[in-house]
Amino acid sequence: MPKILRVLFWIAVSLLGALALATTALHRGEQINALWLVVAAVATYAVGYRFYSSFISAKVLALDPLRATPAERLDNGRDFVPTNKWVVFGHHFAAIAGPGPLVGPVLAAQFGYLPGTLWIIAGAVLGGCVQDFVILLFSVRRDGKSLTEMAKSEIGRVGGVVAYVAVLSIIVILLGATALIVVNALKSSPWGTFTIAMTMPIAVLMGFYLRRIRPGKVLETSVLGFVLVLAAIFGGQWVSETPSWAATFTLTAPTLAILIIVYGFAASSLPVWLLLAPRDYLSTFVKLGTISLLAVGIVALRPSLNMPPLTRFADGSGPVFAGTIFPFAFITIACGAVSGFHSLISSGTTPKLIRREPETRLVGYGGMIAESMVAIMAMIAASVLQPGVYFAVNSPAGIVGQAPEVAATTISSWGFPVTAAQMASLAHAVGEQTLYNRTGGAPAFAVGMAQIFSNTLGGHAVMALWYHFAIMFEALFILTIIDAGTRVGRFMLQDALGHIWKPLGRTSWYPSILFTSAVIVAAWGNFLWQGIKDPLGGINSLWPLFGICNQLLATVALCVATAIIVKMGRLRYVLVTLVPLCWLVAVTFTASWHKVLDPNPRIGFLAHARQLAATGANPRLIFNDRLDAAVTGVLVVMVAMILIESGFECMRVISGQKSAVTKEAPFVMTSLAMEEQA
Amino acid sequence: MKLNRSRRDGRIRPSSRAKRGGLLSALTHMASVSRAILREIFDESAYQRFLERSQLESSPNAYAVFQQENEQAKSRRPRCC
Repeated sequence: MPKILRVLFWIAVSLLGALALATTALHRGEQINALWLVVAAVATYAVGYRFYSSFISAKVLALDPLRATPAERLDNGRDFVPTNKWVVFGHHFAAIAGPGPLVGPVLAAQFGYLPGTLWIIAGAVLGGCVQDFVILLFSVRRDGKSLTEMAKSEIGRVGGVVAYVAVLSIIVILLGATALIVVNALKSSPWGTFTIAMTMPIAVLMGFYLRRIRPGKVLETSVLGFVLVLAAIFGGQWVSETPSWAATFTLTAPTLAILIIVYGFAASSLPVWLLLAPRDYLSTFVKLGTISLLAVGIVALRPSLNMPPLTRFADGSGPVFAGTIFPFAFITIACGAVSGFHSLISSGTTPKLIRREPETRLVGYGGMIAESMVAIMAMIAASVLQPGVYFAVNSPAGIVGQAPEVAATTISSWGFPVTAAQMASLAHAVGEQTLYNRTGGAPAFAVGMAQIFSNTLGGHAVMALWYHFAIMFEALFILTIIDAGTRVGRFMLQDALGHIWKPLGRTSWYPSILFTSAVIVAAWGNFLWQGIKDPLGGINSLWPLFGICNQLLATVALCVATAIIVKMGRLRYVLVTLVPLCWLVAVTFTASWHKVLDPNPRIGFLAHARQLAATGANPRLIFNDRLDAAVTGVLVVMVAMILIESGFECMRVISGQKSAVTKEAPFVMTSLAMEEQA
Repeated sequence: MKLNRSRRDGRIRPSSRAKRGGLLSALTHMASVSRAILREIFDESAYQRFLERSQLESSPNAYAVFQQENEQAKSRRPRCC
């Protein structure tokens, strides 16, 4: 394309993006079409990718197409494999996309669609994509080292320890929070519970098929499993309409929590290749399919947004979670904007597959753009709901009341009209007994998705099927995260305990497996139990705690990246990582201060504990609040330590007290470039 | 765009014919890349590499050995939120 046409094209894209952003931000009084959000996001991502990531590639990181990557140098056909960039992109995206970008935006929609949307777009382009990109490249240049190892070698011992503790904490809190989402989605729902229960025998069947009948044909097996899961969704309808079966599968929140805790322990401690591996494949298959379907659905159906751009809850009095837009919108939406967890993937499997250095741009920066797009879709799914319905689904009984009429009256009094009859009719349409107090985001997302699709594909008659398809999809891959996460946590704990007593570090020694599995499951099970016993719905405490942990991990990742950029002698470009780092420090430290010390009992853990103590509440609830406060406080102190240590390290390098030496692997000329030319 | 697949999965390079373009070949290219992505995500490529490396034919026993080898690495892989 001639240069002038290229220039005109990018001017047009930029103007279109600006127009869409202005429409999204400034439109008042009337509904806007969801496509404005999509156009604003796509245009901004396109400009960010074309210009900002290109600038980072050339000036900050100086990507070298002639430098051999570890995938080429250490190619062993197992961990290190030079792989096509699009294949790595797909692999990386499948690893980073989880329930976070779906749940966070749904919860943050209580402020209206605008704050969350702007944060997702700006946070991704200037923060999340940058973090994923630079950490991926730095790991590639260090033979695929993990974030923890890079923190230790580039900042110091404290950096390594803090990164380790942050990773383990985030895993534990993530598992507790996501397990709570499943419990809230499945409680008193025989249809959903039956469908999810059926995924276990289906996975076992897949395991046999894969091992005995068609070894290695995973895609074929996953399609087969998917068909069976669809049959289970239809079966769930029959179960919910048959009183005796419905009673069997109607479970309370505590029962579901116990079942999930037992499942997590079994999945971590038993050699269950027959169940876990096929479930993992099935979950990935459903995840990729549903995300694609949702993207096509939103673009094809172009729904209107019923949620206003800003709600009255910008003042911090929100029923879904308490707190003002700053800092709480920014920790509620982590995955989708900036997620520290991604730095673990970017310094895990992905760097070992990268064939050429310049491909880190597509995989790291581009992969995060794709994830961010998923978050935009979730925001749209939440915002197509009538606000009254959204708040009825997402508000805990402790805020709006238990009785349907009382809840409807309370929500209507906020200026979001909804009636008990309307909610009963909606619950009936989606095949549920009730949709009140379904906190956690998953049910609201499922209702939104069902509403989008039922407008054309199958009409209102199949709304219940769409709803349960969405619930199945979310619960399935949350359960996969629970079993995979418990195992990862168990391995991390075994690695650490191995330094104290060697046998505990042996991953094949059964007493060690049982002990460490029990510790990890007890840790996240405690948070889950706390969530279901919390009169405010649990999400009010757990999701901000998870968001703080995730963003603190991003702070650690950006700290490591900033220190490396300084040591590379590229001080003039340090703002690329320093600006998002400063922003995250401001967000996480402010949020932590509020969560620990805010005098409002709905926000501050300690104030809530004092309130409970004054009313003579259950001591366990008081302990939970104090535990949450302690966890938050310890993490903030540790991240402050790493900030100080990396700050001193950078100052020593800048002032010349220390020579700027990075721990990169030595340069080796690639042979792939010559191969490609030939 | 037509692709030449080298001895290992995941290494996909356009052939000279592919460079000529055309809608059909672009679609074929997209389909090939999508298939390669899915094969990598679902460990089919990893299994293929395992068979090449250990010079085994695909069989229930070979797959069991692959799964055992793969499980340790897979279990340590964090899954994002």
